Parts: sequence; C-alpha cells; structure tokens
Amino acid sequence: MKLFTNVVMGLLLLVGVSVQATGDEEQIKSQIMKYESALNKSDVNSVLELYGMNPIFMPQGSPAQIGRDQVRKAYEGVFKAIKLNIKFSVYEIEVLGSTAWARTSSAGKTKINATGTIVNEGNNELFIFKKEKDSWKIHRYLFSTNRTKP
Amino acid sequence: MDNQKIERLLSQYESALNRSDANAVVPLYTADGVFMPTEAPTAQGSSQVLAAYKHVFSLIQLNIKFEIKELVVSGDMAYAVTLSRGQVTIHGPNITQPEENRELFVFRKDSDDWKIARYMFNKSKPNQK
Repeated sequence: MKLFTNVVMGLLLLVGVSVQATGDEEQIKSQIMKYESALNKSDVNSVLELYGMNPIFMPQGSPAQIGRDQVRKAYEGVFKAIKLNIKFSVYEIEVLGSTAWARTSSAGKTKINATGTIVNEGNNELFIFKKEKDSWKIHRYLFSTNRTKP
Repeated sequence: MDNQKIERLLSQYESALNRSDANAVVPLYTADGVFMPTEAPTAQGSSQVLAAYKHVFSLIQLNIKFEIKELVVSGDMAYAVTLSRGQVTIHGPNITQPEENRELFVFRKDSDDWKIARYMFNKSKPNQK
C-alpha cells in the first residue's frame, strides 16, 4: 500500500511539475504576444512593462541598451523612425527554474516614417526571460534580420 | 566548474571560427542545435549547421577574439552574452576589414559536456553600405 501511495504521489508530483512548466511556457508565450502588440502599436510603456528590472536589449546595428532607461530611449528612437506591422512565430520555449529562453521569428512590413516607404521586415529573435515577482520578464533580447541582402 | 567548461567551449568555438573549420564547429553544438546567422536562413541540426558554417567559411576568413560579458548557469541550461572583435577577410575581393559582433548563446548540458544549443549574433554598429 505504501509503495502504491508512493507511486501515486510520484505521479502527482510529475503531473504537477509538468503543469507548472506548461503554465510558465504559456505565460512566456503570452508575453511575446503582448510584445508583438506593443511593437505594432509603437507603445513604449507597454514594451517596458514586459522588460525586467535589469534588462539588456541588443538591437541590430545599435549598441547594447543596458538598464530600463536606455531600453526605453532605444524603443522611443525605434518608434520615431519606423512603424511596424509584424507577426511573431514562437518556435520553442524552454524553462529551467526562474530562467527561460524563447526562439522566435517575426515577419511583416515596416513603414519608414521619414519617407513613408514600406519595406518587408523579417527577423530572428532570441529572448532570455527571468521570473521576477511571479511574472516572466524579458531579461536579455537580441534580434537580427534573416533576410538575405538584396 | 560549469562556468569553466563553458568558457572552454567558447574558446574552442573561437578557435574553430578562426581556422574556418566547420567540422570542428559541429561537435560544439547539441545534435538539435540551432544557428541563426544574420542575413541567412536558420540552420537546425548537425547537417544544416555544418552546411551553414561551410558556406560562411567559403566567403570569409575570421580573425576574432571573444569576450564574455555575462555567463549565467541555471541547472542544465546556461546563457552567455559575448562580444567578438577582430578582422574579417572577404575572400572574393580579398578585402580585410574590422569585424565586431555581439552574441547571445544558449547552452545545454549534454551528458557531462556543455554544448551550444541556440546561437544568434548581430552587429552593434550600423551596416556600412
């Protein structure tokens, strides 16, 4: 009977762990979808809500933006220059403790605000998330274009 | 110990890049490793990773040094933010120019060895066109 109880407890524990992991993955996926929406709305405040306390944002062609103030300024600059209309595809998320990573790509159109020109946009992204106060936040983030040079 | 193993892995990666040795790069990746080079398709799994590096090395010769800015281990997973600086020679026109990239690596412990699981880089300066 004790063995049976142990097995049942073990199974429950396994199920518990797996439900927890799935919950984390879903939360992270939902953060990525919020990020997509904030980008498409050029909404700096919503973007900043998704970043953690000590973030590093490494946009292509710019120095690393370290800390929330620099990250905010970087997005203000981006949204002044361009208007995005993109969609993220989430390929994989792996959670280990309070750290996680996600691999995505994004594709769509970008309007260059200065000229009104619309160009195709395609990027790969790698996110490192950190759980802060029970919520998954962007901790490190790097993207680069996956479009070959014309 | 884990940190040292990952530092050694990165130095093996640096050496393989500088020798243009695609065969030496592949065992540094997990079997399902994903390499996401800039301006190129994503390579997934050993055979695609091998082909991607062979393609890169057919175009350029690197002479770079990695600097680890951050290395964080969480159980069997780790990530690193690095910076690489040096020179690149473009084979066709035989031009040598400064090269600088930053990288984000995700590592996974595979048996007792750390391997590159996911890897992306980009440039910290605007493209010179």
